[in-house]
Amino acid sequence: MSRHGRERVDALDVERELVEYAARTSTDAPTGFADRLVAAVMATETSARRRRGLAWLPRWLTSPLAPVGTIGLRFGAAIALLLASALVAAAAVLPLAHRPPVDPPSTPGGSLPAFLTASPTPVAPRLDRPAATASVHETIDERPSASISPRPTHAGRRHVTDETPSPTSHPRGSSGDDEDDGHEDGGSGGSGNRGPGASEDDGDHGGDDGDGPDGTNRPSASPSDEEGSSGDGDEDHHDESGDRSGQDGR
Amino acid sequence: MDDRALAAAIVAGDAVALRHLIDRESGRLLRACVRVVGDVDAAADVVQETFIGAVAALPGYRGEGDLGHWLVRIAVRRALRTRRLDRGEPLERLDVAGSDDEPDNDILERERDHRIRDAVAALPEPYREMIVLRYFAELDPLAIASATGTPLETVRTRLRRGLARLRLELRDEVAA
Repeated sequence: MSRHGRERVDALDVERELVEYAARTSTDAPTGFADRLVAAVMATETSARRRRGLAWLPRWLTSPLAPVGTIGLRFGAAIALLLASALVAAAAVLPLAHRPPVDPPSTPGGSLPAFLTASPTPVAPRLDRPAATASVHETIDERPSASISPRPTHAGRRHVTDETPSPTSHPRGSSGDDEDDGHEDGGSGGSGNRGPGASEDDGDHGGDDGDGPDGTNRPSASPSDEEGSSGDGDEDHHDESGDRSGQDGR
Repeated sequence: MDDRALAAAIVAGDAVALRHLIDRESGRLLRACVRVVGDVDAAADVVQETFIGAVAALPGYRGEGDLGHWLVRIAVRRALRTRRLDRGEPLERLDVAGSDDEPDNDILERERDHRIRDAVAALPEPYREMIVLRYFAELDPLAIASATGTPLETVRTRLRRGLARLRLELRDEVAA
């Protein structure tokens, strides 16, 4: 007998053993077994769907099991669902978008808040004090000499800036906000003009000038946009904006 | 309802379709698992895990092949894994030792069943899966070929070689 034939004869005995074993261990499902399975599967699937959220949507859309005719219906339902989600998200954001508009603080005329426009008491004493006004003119007269003088080198300017740190000057990261630059430039311009005899009012004027003579603050036109985001550029910008605001003040 | 439509309904959350599938397949799955693990409760747990896992994986079912055969294959694999994990615990031997009033032939029969289960579980793959699908899950070679994606001749060859190895295993156990 060949090896293959002997293998078959040997295997036949084992096969009979296996068939008898299967017959002996044939058992029926216990009572309520199907109910238990249905409950277990449904509970697991429900919690899994809740956990997955909308993750099932693409899988459901591209499922090869559903008939082709329902693909349009499924996509329509999916788009409706996404639109509803977008509406809910928009409804959550919309109250922020409908805030009452705030007037810009540099707008000329009566649109300024009352506590800023109604300040007669500081003005009247200033008229009585010519020295203070003269100091303003002195400061302005000193400006041309400062502006005519050759522009300091980059290192020189940095040195000056380091010696006289403005309260508004601060190191900035690489992602500076342009609008913040515009406001802070105005403030630092005022402090840059402040001479030895300058009063506090000078600084305020400088700050207003930094916003622009016509009352419009244009941060996008400020040099900080072109200077990039390096700290050196910002320091340069402080000095230059101070010069510009001083000229405006004149 | 064909298997493809049945699976699609279950994926869509149809409880009636799920019930239909469970009624149709749970008996066969339970029998196959009992023959692998040797315990009805453990086999019932395996069948439950099989249905849970299969329903979660149903969206990936492309309707190729019989859904019942697909389920049987999953159940058999899980049962073999459970059997391997519980191998250190001689549950059947403890049961036999505890039943003093049973007739001797029943005890011998249980011992023989235990031996067969051990010998099948000790087979290397792919012979073990083929033997279990053929004799425990009662699938014919054509169904095994469809369920496993194996050519029919390859299935027959593996079955024949698996039986030969099993015979050696059983003979060694008896001799021991």
